[in-house]
Amino acid sequence: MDSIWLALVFTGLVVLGGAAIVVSRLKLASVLFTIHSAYLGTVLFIVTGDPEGIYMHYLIAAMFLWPFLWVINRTSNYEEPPVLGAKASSIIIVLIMTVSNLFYNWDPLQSGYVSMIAMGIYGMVARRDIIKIAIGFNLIENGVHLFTIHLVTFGPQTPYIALVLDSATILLNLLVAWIIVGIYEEYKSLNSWKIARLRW
Amino acid sequence: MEDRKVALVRILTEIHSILPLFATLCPFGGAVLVPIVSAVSKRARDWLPFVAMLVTGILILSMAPSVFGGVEYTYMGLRVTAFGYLMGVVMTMVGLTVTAYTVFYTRKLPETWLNYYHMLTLTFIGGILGMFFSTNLATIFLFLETSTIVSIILVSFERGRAFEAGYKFYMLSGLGAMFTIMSITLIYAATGTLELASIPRSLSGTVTKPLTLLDLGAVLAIVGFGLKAGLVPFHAWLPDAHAEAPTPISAILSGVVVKTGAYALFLILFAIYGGISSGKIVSILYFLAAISMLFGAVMALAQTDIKRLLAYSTVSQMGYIILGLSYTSALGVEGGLFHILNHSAFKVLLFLCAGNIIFQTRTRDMRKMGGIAKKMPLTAFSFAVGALAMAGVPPFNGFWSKLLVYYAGVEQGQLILTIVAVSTSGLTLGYMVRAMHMVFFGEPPTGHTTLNERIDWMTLPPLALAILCIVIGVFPELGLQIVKPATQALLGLILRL
Repeated sequence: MDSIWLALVFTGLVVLGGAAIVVSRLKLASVLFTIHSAYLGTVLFIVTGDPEGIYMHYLIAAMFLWPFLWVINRTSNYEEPPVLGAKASSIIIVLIMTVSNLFYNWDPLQSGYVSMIAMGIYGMVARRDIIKIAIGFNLIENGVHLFTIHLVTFGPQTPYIALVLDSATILLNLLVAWIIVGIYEEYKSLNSWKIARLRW
Repeated sequence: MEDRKVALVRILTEIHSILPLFATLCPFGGAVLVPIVSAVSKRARDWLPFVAMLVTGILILSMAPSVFGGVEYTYMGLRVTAFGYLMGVVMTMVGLTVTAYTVFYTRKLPETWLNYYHMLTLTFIGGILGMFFSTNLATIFLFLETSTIVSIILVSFERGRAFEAGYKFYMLSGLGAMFTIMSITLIYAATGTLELASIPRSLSGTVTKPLTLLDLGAVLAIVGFGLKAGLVPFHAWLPDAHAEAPTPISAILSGVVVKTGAYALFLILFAIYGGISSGKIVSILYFLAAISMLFGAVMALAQTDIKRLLAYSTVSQMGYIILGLSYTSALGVEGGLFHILNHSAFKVLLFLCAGNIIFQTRTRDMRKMGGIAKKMPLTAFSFAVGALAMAGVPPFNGFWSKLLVYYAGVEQGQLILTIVAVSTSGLTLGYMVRAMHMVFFGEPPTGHTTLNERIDWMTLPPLALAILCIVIGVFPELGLQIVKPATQALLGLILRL
């Protein structure tokens, strides 16, 4: 029974993250990601009993939503056309979840963080909108957080590693919000393919 | 009377042990003071970063007798090892010259930006110093991320196209941070400690070493810190960030920040493996070093933007540092560390000269320059010294560190790598002579008639570094003495002494 409950909890977490990648309205995507992040904090607290997870992830959720809504209000609520549409993206996300579950023999925690990291990478590669790319980046961060907790749950310094990672994520989100608004003012677009005046 | 003496000695010893903390806090303290001083005097505000760096430099230099005597400072989680101290000295040298240069350079920035600029620069330097004075992996990551986040703001500081460079830097350094934290997690899972000094002990205590986790951790560290070090193929952020950042920040990025990646990477690799002169890890490092040397030099040959040329040359020169340290022999480590010191001196000098040229000509395009040597002889002299030092031409400092890396390669039987390193020096000479020809010789394009140069705080810092390059070139033992404690400490780590 416990394993079914855990599987449901982690599936919900992954589905929320995937939905944040797929939906095309940026405000809705930001709200979905915020719920995903707060949900992750709650799950971490339940799994580890460590209050750092819940405090920091609620903070991450708040510090994500506020600057990103500020950005969207100053730019656009509509996502730039992605490389792959909603249907194809949904299929790929379901595939990622299925393959990771099969690979990890339906272990909800392991398949959960692998799915989140894979979906984040997919979001960064297959979406052209830089707000969506930032959401993909944050999804990877959440997956890495879960990976950290899974691998060194009982280490005395685990909360320290997680705290450093979470603090960096919060600051990076504030920073990227400022950069995205600056890019929009300069390039009049959030399409990452058009933001290419500098050669690589 | 005797009691008073004992108490005084105790207080002095206590103060002495706090030096690393003071040295790390000094730039942060300077950053806090910027708005306060600015309210009193704008001129004093512009000099504040230099004064903060001067105090930091004095604090760091006052640790020299103990560090050279083999003592490691430990206070409140900070720990100054000989390697960290060498990097601290490099940061001091770069910080002093760059903050002195900044006093005049910032006159081209709007007044309303200057408080932020000075605060961010000092926080950036403080973060880097904190990283060098830490040996706990999480603390290293904390300070590294602090400096990275601040440097992203500084790269985007001049707005416009700089936001694009900042965005690329954010994406790639963010991904690098993910790899780094996964690497730290794996190492922690395998060893049960985040303290680098305890890793060898914890590994020697286990009967079966959890090598798979550690190997994976090492590979992730190579990717994460390789991104920071600008190694090919993780270098994509580097040319844009170096080119679009304000010139003093480009100098710090190239002079110190890329070395933070090499610093953390080799601390981790040596702590895990000791000598890494065999196996897959060293093959990966050799490959990355060789491809970075060659690719950076070839790309530099194709550039017409003076700052992008210097940025690609940084990619190339990082290859030498990685190659020297990867050999894990006495000669290789000494060569790698000596090249860290030398590269910081000549690359900062070259960036500051480029800043002077751009300041006068209002362009970064070398095709629109020419004949500047007559109008800016001091800058031309300093640039020539830096260029020849970077190409490894005797009697400049770069020659000796490169020679040590070549010798180490021959000693290790790595003839192909040595040939690549020597050939890259030839390419370096080629693109630097081409750059000098385009910028300083020939006929000046129209519109450059008003160029002039004065002896001021924009010409003196590069000139001072040029003299340093010549002095170390003529008396290499001076530079070798500075890197000696760090070499011995790393060899101790490699040989598990």
